[in-house]
Amino acid sequence: MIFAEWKPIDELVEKLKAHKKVLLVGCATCVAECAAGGEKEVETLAPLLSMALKKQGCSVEIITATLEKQCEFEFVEELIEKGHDVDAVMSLACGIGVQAMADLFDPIPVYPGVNTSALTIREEAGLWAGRCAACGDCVLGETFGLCPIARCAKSLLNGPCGGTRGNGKCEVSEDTDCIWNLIVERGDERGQLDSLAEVKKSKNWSNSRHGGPKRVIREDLR
Amino acid sequence: MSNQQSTDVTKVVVLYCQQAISEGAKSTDWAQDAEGINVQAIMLPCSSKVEVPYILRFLESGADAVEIVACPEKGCSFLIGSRRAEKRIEYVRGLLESIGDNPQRVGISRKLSQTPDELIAIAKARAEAANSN
Repeated sequence: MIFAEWKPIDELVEKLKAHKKVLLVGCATCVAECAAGGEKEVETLAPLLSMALKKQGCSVEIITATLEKQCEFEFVEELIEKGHDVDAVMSLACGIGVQAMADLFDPIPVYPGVNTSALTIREEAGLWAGRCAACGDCVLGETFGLCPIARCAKSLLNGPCGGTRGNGKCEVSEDTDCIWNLIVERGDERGQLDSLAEVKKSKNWSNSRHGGPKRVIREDLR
Repeated sequence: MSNQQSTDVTKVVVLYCQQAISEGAKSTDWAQDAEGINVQAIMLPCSSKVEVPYILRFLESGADAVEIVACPEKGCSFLIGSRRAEKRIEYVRGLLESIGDNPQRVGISRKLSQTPDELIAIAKARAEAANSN
């Protein structure tokens, strides 16, 4: 899922303090899964912001809504009526949702309430870990299903580096597995260590964000 | 369930698990006997039913403090219900701190067979803590 976290409350208050009526909007998909922008988080943040704004002497009415998806215009358009008299919108969706809202509500300002930071899996309750970097050139077929781009601090294609600790952890953090150590272990278990001996060439990053803004057209779907 | 009409008295919302109280506290009438504070008593099937947004809504809408009365660690009929409630209180305290508010406005008590007098004492202690900063 796309992972996001609340921005610092001070930052959010600063954005909203000059407004009179704000629509705080959540998204019931990824950001709900990572407990940052679903209905529960919207209904948590709304009274918290309201109290924080009141402490600063600001009278801001905050109304709330949570869409099934903020990343599709069909869902976003549901808000036209509800948000007709607001003078600002704060979105708790990922950056995709925020931009969809900004298109819909233009020229009313739309502020992000969260920082979108990773593509993660929920390993257990309350613990998310990065699994994908959307690099545009997947190598999971060569690394036994373990991503060295998202899960290695250096995104090494030929690892491990010299910083792997004796216990198989990364030099960056005692809590982080060296993914290349895990790749080697899995290759060993499968009797396929030899496949890792081949030096992988420099990665082609042109299909990731390094290649410029992504725009994909599928004529069969138009 | 208010026992005071004055806006100056401290308002405390007590959300209590029906398993954590004595027979005498099954009715919310005890809240009317709390002197010096305004108590709103709400009985729940389990303290884990208290979600973070509810607590914040109470505070935003005028409550000075919120107290959850829950079962002790090994006395919860739903095994981890009261532990969940405790974690939510800790989370709300962090949120209150993040806006420069007194985290002691919310709290939790974990004990079985609480009597009406004990519930009133808990509410008063929370009111005192809420007013301490």
